[in-house]
Amino acid sequence: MKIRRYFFFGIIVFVTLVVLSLLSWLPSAVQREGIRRYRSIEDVKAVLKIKKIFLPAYFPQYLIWPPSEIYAARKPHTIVLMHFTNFKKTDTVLSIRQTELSYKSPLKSRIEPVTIKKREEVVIKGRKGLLAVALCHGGEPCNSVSWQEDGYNVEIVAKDSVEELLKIAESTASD
Amino acid sequence: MGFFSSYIGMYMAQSVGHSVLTLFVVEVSLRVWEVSEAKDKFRYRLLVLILPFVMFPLFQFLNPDRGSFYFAQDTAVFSSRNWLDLSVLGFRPFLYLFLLATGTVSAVVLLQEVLPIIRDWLRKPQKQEAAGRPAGPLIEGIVGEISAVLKIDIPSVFIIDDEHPVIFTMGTKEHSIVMSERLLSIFSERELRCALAHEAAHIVRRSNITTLLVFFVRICMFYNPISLLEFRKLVQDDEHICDDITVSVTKDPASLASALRVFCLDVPGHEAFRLSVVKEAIESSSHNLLLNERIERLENHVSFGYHPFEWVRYCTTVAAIVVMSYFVV
Repeated sequence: MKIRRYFFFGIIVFVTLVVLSLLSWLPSAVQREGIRRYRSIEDVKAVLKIKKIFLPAYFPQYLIWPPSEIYAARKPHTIVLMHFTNFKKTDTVLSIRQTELSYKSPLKSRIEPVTIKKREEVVIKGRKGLLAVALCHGGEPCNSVSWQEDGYNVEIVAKDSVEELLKIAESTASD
Repeated sequence: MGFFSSYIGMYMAQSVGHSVLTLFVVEVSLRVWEVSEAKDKFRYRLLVLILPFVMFPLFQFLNPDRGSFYFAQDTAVFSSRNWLDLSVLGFRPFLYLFLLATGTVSAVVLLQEVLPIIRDWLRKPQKQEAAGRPAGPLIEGIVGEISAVLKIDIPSVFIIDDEHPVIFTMGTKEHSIVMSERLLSIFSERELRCALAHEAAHIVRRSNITTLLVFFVRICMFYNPISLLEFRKLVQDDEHICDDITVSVTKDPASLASALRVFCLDVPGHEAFRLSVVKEAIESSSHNLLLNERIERLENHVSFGYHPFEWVRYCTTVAAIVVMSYFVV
């Protein structure tokens, strides 16, 4: 009798969790606006009709293509954020984020520089850019570079050397 | 929506969400575990007030990433942001509904509870004890007997000159019972014994300090509608517990019920529709409703006995609430 009560209580807890999950999912099912997760870059282009998505042509060998995660939104502001993992798929090592110039996105990259050691101006294919030599959580080196292009602010964060990061950035910017 | 990304904003949204969840789990637990005693119900209901107050800071301390977008996406079972951000034709109905509910409750708390307390505190004579006369040997004898049974220090009893039937306990360390001359004149000896035993029960339970602490939590969550409702249920549960203790001492539920009837208020008539009259009518009806519920409970109560508290069941409920709430952001 006592065990049955615990079992019954457990079932109610389980059902509550299922109902909560459904309730959490419901708004995304009825609304297309806002930041959502997409399976592929093709999906983002097809659904959100974003003309320009910044992708690097140069990939260090330890990176896996395609992106492990893509978050994007068209309304109220355009944002595309991609994460790439290392070959073992154990860690996010690169992120590329493009946001409308007027929009200060609350969506942060999974790898976010925490301690900035040095900031300096760089040139990315003739455009003025800003390089930050920094450390992530846990003291890992993670550097970032950002520049403006075609009405977007593009930011790349990589757990890699400055040289590799700049190579990736150069291959991402348009000619 | 920047506010709901801040620590305070997340605290507000999540504590309301956690209150709803805790209330649901507690009410389910009361039924599944068949909790019937007032003192056990009080312990369970206390969770609805306390847990949502402390869980968010605790969770954030354990996992600072819990407030992030990725936690909501990858790990959380329910994200309140999904609903607050829901936009219909450029309008965010659930955000405005949430703001309306929390704003209304905040206004009610301020007008109905905080302001009257400040007003009463400013008007209250600073040395209330001096206003009363010591009770006679009859009352002191009854209080002495009750105190011996309940194993408490004998509280002093003061009689104040008040036309209303009033009895209450003062103090948090050294207690005294204050009752009005009017009450003394209308109570029979048995009713008087029950009323004094009830006040002594409040002293045993340290109701003054408990209520003060619970009230503090409730004021801190002034925006939370669940806290507003649950605080009142807790106060009523506390009265039930003290009624049970009284009956266990006096073995006389009928006299306690009869003593309680004295405190029922006259509800103003409806001849003149004035806001002040309506307000008084609502307050009096609500007061009487709670008293009548206690009277009915005393008249129909089958058992005033005690059994050991089921801690394993209680801990199961607490664990379920804490674990589920962790995944509600």
